Amino acid sequence: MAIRLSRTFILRKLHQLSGIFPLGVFLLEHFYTNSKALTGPGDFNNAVKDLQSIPYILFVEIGGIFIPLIYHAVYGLVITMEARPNNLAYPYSRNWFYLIQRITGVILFFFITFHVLNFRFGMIPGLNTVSVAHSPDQAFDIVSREFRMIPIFIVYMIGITATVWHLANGIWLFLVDWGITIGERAQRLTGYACIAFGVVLLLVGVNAAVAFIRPGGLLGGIIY
Amino acid sequence: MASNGMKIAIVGGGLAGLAAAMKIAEGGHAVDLFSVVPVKRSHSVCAQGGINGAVNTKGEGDSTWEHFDDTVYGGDFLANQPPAKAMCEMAPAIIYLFDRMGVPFSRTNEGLLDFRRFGGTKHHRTAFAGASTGQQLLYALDEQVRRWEVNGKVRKFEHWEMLSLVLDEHQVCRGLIAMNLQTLELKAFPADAVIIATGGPGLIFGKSTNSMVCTGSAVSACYQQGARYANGEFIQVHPTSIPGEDKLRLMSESARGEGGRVWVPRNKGDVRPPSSIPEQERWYFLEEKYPAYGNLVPRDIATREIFQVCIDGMGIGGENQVYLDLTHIPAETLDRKLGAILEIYEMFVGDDPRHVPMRIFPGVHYSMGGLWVDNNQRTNVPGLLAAGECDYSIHGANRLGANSLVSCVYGGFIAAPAAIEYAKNVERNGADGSRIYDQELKHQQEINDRLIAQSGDENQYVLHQEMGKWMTDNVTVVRYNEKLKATDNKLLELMDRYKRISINDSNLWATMALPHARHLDNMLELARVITLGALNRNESRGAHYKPEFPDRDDENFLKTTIAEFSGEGPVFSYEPVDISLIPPRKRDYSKGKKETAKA
Amino acid sequence: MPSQPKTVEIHIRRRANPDSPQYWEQFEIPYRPNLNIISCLMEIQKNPVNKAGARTTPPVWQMNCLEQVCGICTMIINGRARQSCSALVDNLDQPIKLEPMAKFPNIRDLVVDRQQMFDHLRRVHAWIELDGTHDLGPGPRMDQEDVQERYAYSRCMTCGCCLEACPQYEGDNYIGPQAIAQVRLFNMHPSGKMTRQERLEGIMQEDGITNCGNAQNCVKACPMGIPLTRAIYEENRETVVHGLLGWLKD
Repeated sequence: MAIRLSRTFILRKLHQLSGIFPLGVFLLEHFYTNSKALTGPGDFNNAVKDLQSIPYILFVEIGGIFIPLIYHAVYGLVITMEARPNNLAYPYSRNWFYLIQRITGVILFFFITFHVLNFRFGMIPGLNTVSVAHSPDQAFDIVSREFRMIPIFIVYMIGITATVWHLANGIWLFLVDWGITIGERAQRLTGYACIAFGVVLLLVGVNAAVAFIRPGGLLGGIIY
Repeated sequence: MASNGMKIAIVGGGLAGLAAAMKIAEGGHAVDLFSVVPVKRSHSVCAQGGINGAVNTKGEGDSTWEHFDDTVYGGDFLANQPPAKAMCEMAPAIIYLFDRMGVPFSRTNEGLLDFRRFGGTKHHRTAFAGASTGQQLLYALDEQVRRWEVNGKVRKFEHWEMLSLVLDEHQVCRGLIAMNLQTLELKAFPADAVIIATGGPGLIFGKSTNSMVCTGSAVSACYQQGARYANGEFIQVHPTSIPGEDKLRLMSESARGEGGRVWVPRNKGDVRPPSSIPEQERWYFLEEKYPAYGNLVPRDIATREIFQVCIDGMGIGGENQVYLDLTHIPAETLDRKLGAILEIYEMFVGDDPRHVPMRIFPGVHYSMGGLWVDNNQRTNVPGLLAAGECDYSIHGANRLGANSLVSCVYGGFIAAPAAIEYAKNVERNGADGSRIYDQELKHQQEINDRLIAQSGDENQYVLHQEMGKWMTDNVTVVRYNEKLKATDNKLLELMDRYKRISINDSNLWATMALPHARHLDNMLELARVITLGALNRNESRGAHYKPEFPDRDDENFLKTTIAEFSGEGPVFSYEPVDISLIPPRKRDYSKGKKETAKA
Repeated sequence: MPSQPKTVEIHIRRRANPDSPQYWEQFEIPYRPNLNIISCLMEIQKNPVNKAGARTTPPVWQMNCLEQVCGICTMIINGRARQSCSALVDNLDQPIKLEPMAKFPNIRDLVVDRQQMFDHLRRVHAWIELDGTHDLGPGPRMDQEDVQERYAYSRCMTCGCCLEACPQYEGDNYIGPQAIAQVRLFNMHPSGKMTRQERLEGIMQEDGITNCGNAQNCVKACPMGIPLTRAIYEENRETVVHGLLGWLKD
């Protein structure tokens, strides 16, 4: 009785799913680890060390992050190439969201490539040649040194904003694509929820980044 | 089931054509279906109000006999009664069939089919899907026919127009010639039987409630090839339409069925906005004159009353307009039951009929007349059948609202087995059979070539406009013999001028000009049938009203008008009406039916 | 209010036949109140002279019901896909720009071939599998609320506005909201449900439902106000439950 599944159907469903799980979940974890910087370099470095002590870390990293990430990024570009935006003739918010989702996707393709090469592998000559993952005790300093360069910090602010947008809107998209949200009212309510989630996530992400150049983050450690 | 290679051609993809196609395909036989537009875009989509069938779920004591009696009485006894009776008896099954096909008919609290009231009856007998029932029914048939198309039984020729029949030396129909509307290629399509289901000829009147494909052209071609045309003079003018620049848009009778009231200000020249005219200063003239049926008198009567009110200068602001008022009904109820038609009004007029009374005026709507058929939908030409608005049966001198959809489907359902039966028994052409196709093909090609080649000073669109104006002014609600004669003379003049038209499109690829020129020729022929039929009928009956002869004259005119084509114009004869089931009685809608039966 | 212009200026994007290039031609006709685009085109057709005063071929378009229920007269008017019968000149900015729909093969002038939409209906089995057309009594009882939802889907006139407005649709690469809504229409019906699988298969192919990008232009562009996104999301659920997870029942 099972229905034959077409290649496109499977690829798209995997794409939709991979954005939430594991990538979305990983982003939350990432921001959680970053936020450790709020309470000082030591806490952050310990957190990085803890992550590296996860059993089978190599397989977890490859299977849980790199493969889904590369798949989501590459197939996302394929989908983006199919788009024929028409926002001037049909200037509706969802149509703009559609366009922005693709623009942020392209931004993320380059940003994450850079970010991973930079911090995970330390493969950007002239900027950073030390892998944060392999040198947990230097982790905070590496990041902090780079973030003090204004262009790099701006790149990261754009990257974090694009990531948060892409995930928050992506959650909304996942809910409709998997037939969880259906009616117009439900679409609206989940839309608000995703906006709220995005705003909180953005604050958390930015605050954590700021913590690398200003002790205690945006509010100087008043709240963390 | 074996099909022994038989092929039936159906011309027209509206309700009747699709109904027939579905039945024939279901019987295991092959169908070629021709339509000038994709069948899903046929004129049947415009039918709004509903479909009649005496299902009697409202406990009103309705019966198929009541439906039959209402139909015959509403048609002023001009309909042959056996097919009308058969239709009314089939009607409940037709509604149930559409229900099974998934038509979203409105429901009662128990989930049963809901029924509304329509004109000319006191029963809730009209099943409806919102206010776009015709669209819903057509789609249901379109879907079923698509299913048969996938199964290989139906071949569709959309954007192909039938130009003529192919007749053999014994005047037996052997197929048809059709034109591809993109390439203008002509092709002969042999068929064992042809069913014409091309709808009405509203465009003869220029602007009408009909769609732009409703030229009557194919029917006229059949008429000119020997098919008899019956009761052409009976043209229904719908009481409530929205006048427009390009067409008259229908405002469904269901607006009145759901409680809509027709009125004008009591005081001539009262220019106050309708909402500030108090109740006692409004003249609900239909309710006043016809207490038994009120706003739901049959269409011919409502139309004449509205027309008269306007002629007397009582129209809104002295113009040809009266109010159709729904503002006393809750907006939510209106949206649920009439949403689609209210949107049409809002879209094209700009006022919200939920809060402002609509301004309406009668408009040409339906032809009761059409190709003559026997009780099995067969025309006088062997092998040629007709179904739907293009045949003359069922409705007599006036059609009741919501009877058209049921008559289309009924016609298709009767024509299909009749065509199969005929095709099974017909002798096929011999070896030289292809000669007749080549001959007719050549003849049609010559007509096209001549039209393309000729250059004259006449404009085909101007001629069409003139014909429409004359026909609308003189051959609709009120008819005078003087004016009818003048109209016929005008038609002869137009026919003469037609010979001097030039096709104004030098690009023949997908041109609109050549097909229109061919329609125009055929429309002019039919216009004469309508006009002269009206001139000859010196009485008033149903939609045909002559002030000079205000009464029904059963002695001389309880007859079917039959027109036959000749080079000199239509030749008329008359045939008795089959009144074997209900003896004619006076038609009086100021009283209930029981009272008139006693009288 | 500014005084009404005395003329209506119309620019038409024309094409003589599928093999020749598109070009713009300008027309001007006298203004009358309550003109719609069809009346303007009729006026030009009667006397095909362009704005420069040169005789030209009459523009070709499609029309039928003129009540926005047959869908045939759809074209792009001032940049947006809509029916030309219900486009009133008084509500449009001038010059009025008329173009054929861009996502379908252009036959001539404003005429396009939308056969692919009907082909989609064939593929998704948009019908009820009747046992026969003989009298079998009434159909299943239904809740008026379900009927109203089905009615909304059933009003689709196959005009193509949703596909034209869809940023994911080009070159017939996506089955589109029109066909998906018809799947919903029949999958909601008690008898239609019985052949749900065939319809789901129809929308789960390479060009299937997952090509939706959720730009939601379809639902805004639909002249019949059909809840197209609702239909798509309902079918997303059905394809997930019966398609993706269907094997869990085997």
